[in-house]
Amino acid sequence: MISRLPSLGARPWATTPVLAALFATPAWTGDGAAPAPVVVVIVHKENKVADPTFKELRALLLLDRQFWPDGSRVVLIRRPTTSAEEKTLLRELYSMTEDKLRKYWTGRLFRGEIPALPSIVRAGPAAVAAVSKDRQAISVVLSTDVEDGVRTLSIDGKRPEDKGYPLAVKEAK
Amino acid sequence: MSYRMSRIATFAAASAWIGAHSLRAEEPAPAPAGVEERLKDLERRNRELESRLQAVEGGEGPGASARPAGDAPEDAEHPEDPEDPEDPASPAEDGVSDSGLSARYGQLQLTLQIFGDVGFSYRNPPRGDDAHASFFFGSLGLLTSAQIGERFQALSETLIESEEEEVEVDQERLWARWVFSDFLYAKLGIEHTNVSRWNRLYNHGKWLETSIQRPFLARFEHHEGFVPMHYAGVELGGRRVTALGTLEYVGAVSNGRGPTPGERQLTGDLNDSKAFESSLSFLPADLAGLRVGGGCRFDEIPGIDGDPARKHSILELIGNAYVEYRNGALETLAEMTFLQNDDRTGGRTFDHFSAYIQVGYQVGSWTPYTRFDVREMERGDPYLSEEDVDLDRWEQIIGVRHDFYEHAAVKIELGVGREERRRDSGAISRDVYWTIGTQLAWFF
Repeated sequence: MISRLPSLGARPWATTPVLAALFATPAWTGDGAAPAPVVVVIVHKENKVADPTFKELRALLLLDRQFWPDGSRVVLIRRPTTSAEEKTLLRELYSMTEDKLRKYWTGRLFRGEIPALPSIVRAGPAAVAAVSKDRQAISVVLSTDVEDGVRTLSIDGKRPEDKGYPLAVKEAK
Repeated sequence: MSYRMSRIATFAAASAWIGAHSLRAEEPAPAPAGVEERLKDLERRNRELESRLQAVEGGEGPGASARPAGDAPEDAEHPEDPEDPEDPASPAEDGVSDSGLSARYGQLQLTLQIFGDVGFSYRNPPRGDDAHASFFFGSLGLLTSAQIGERFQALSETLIESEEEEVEVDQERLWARWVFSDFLYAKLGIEHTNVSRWNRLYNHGKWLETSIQRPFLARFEHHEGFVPMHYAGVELGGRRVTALGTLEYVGAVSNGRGPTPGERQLTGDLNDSKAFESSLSFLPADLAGLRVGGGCRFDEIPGIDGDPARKHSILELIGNAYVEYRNGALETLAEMTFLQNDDRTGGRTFDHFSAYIQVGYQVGSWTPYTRFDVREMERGDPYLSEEDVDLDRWEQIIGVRHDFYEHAAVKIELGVGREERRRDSGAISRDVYWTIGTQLAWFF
């Protein structure tokens, strides 16, 4: 939740109802604390792809695998490197720095291994909306952003709410 | 009305419209019972506000399309105002979407990228008639990648570079390919050879390379290279992701080399014998960042009419192996190439060998690196001696690369080495040399 607040920063007026509701909310206590969000992988709700292993997910999100089992092309919707989602992927899945990831995508286009750079969608809800409209799309969002119209993939058989789910968000110090 | 005024008016209208709707939406909302429900309620309202704002500003909802092209969602990173300083995710802070120019027309998506580099070098003793110190124009590369539909792709790389005292335009790559699946693609055109990992990894993109110079075994045909770096032909390849790791495979048939190392035969072939090459790479799943592989190539190099020393063809065999490891801040690439030329005119076989190992470690925006590079050649090869690349050489470099901007880097490099040089009399001397170089490389 906290990590979402900056996305409202460009439009301070939009925070008015949010801030009002926050002030109306009792102070959080340990008992009532919301579960920490995790990064979830979403595809279109009619995409029947099997839940991937951790390694298969890496291949999908780095476009090492560019086609779904039904033969259609994977449409990757990336998130900004400044987002909690991409920072989590950099740390847990890619084992790369931001610079290395930038070089990775530029190099893959330059070598002709991918026909175009994946588009980047800033806001989680917009990524959810985009995936819900495209049967070939895949993206990552915070668990708090998930809505109807998309399917959340398990990773190594673990659901996002399970203990040991591999894409937990670490709060910035 | 000025552009600024119209923006303010639009903003005010949007604020009033959304504010009114927000208030209306709040009225009937019952107070959530618990913190979790309140959070969900806030999230839902936040999403509604985002959607309404986009509807007002762009006439579309979020995620109008998820295609990786010009019809990307409104929220995608090609905003109308790319310099919005208040936006925490403005393109200036993001990874790749602000690189290159992209356009889409129907089924066609086009991406253009420009690479450039300039520099300065000091060498002691100087080479040939050159002075010790000189500034140089490196190259300007124009890369165009086009996607038509889901499976057809075309790529062009045009390079403007200095060639002695002249500036030349070279078509370095031009190919089109049909991608059947992850397992198989078919490519036709001009491409870089597979007998060097460095060659296929970096192509002509100086910004992509950590160091200033390419290693000996990956130098281009006109720049002291002895291994073919380009071909015109057809290529089949693909990759297979398995539980053990990813396997990549490539096979190609091409025109092969011309009568001299500098002739790439990109527009025709002087003999009917074609060159065959293949390569295999493996990326183990349990060790992310590691890649091992190798390749081989067979070619029949045509003879030269009127030259008694080159009357018949030369059979060339090339073998290559490499290990690459990139994980976090560490980058390592080690490669070796063996080349054998069987001269059918002189009845002799010449064996040549070259290898290097380069290691770099990124610390913030700085990447110190070092490379040891060696070339052990068998002197007198009638094919390679034409351009004096049949001589031994080794070099140790140490340098640092500073990525001062996400699309630009400066490299500073020190080098020391020893090389054999052929004098006008034909005698061979061995000289120790040292160099200082700097390069500014960028792309956008």
